[in-house]
Amino acid sequence: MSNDQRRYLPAWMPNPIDSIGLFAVEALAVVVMALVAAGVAAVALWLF
Amino acid sequence: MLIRPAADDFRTIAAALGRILLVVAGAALFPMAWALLGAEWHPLGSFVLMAGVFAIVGVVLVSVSLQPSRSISADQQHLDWSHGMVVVALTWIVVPLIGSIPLLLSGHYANPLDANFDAMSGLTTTGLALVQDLDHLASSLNFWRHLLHFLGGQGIIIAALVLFAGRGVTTLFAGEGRDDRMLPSVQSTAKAIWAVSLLHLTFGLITLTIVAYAALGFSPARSVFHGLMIFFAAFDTGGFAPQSTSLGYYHSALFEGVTAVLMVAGALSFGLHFRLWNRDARRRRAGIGAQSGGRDDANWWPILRSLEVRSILTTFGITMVLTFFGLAGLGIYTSVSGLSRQGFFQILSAHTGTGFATVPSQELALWGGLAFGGMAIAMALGGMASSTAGGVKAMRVGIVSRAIMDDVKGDLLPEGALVDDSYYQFGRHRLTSEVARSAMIVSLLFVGLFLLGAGVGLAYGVPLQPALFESVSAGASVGLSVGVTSPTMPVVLKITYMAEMLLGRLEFIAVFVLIGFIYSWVRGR
Repeated sequence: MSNDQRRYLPAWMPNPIDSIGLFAVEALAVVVMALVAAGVAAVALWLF
Repeated sequence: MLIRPAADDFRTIAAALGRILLVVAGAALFPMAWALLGAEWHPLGSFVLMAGVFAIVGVVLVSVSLQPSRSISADQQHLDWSHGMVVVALTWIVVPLIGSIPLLLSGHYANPLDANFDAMSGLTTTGLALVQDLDHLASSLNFWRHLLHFLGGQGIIIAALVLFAGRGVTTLFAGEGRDDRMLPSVQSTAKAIWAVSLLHLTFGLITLTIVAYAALGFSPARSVFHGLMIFFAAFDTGGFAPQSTSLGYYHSALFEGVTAVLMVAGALSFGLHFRLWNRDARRRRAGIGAQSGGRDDANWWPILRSLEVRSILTTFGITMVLTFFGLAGLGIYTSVSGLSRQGFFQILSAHTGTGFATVPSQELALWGGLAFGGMAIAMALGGMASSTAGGVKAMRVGIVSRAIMDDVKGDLLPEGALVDDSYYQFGRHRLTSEVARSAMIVSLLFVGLFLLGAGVGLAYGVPLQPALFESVSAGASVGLSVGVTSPTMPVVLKITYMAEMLLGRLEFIAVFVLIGFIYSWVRGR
């Protein structure tokens, strides 16, 4: 495939369900990190 | 012997730079439309002036590139590595210069340097600001400040690459510190990056607007405005806010939570976004998992075992523990909810390189000892490579740590024993000396940059802790401030922070090549 042909390849066809899933995964990651943070905060305040 | 650049070199650079400036002139139509809709006539005039200057300079540069032989089109001119680096560095210097025109004419800046400081801070997604009376700045000017975050975070070059092609455009891509080729061509990769960004714009804007309207009681128009501004600054890990009290203005845990999701999304590499989003890539990931012993039933194992993800999770955990223990020791927050909410948001803001604050800079200045250490390290390390975040980047931290561990292992094992020098990053890669050396050089340059900036601060009488904090914040494109950055700070310090923003954002090489190019022009034969 030539460089010119490659250049005009479509990026990809995103799926709406995948799109919602991506945002949901990122939200879930923040919720998990916030819960861990609350745990660390509790331990830190208990220690000091 | 240094070789003086030839006229063709200048023409090639002028052609690429001119076309990029024409793209930015097109982007200036958005704030013009905003000002027109809002009947903000004075800002509208300044946007017309700015767009005109961008367009005129762009056209002149493209015209110059066609001389003297008009038979050679700009597309046929080959952009080699040094040309690309020079174009990138010049773009990131010229765009803030011209882009600061509306800011200067607004009357909210004491002098041209302050306006240029904010434009540079916006474009490099840093977020340090010298604007005065921000709470009364026209909405279209606020929109332009935040749009600069979006242009800088996505990469002006990325924007331009979508619109034009030519031999050697890969060097432009690399010059902005991006090395994540997700698709066969640079152009399709650039389009994919914009697709990821537009997806987040849709979700982020809708969610923030609903929260602002329903939970904060804002009017519909005000909800959209604040939602859009915060989206730009959060997803592009910028840190500008439409109000002087930053995120603290909203006093809402829910609003902070949605913003935190966008901040995390901004600090993830576009390659990772692409893998999470793209169905075909997910299938491939499942295939890799099956080969690695069937541990990939949920398709997450390749992501969780990748060096970059492990590196950022580890450094985030360590810096969070340091900061929380430091804050608990200082006794600033006495409840779990207070410590976890303020501490978590600030450490997330620092590590993702965003720079939003929910506490005033005077309060942040009280975070000494371990809390200061945790915050400073988090800011310095930054997000993932090929993301909108700045700093050393998780991939380099992972590679340098891995190289050190391999050396220690080699010393501990019997002579002649082989150490596994491979690492996993969506496939196994060899950790060669060249890879380790490259990561160490950039990491060391960042450390040098932070120390140099802190040294200038110290020379002007700023105490060590705030001088180091502010320098790391500028060099790692973060934007958190403990009060050093203000319109009254010395001119040299302003210029130092601007240079730190530029060097840190472009990861040194493009700026170094520009300096070398100018030196060759002056001293070469």
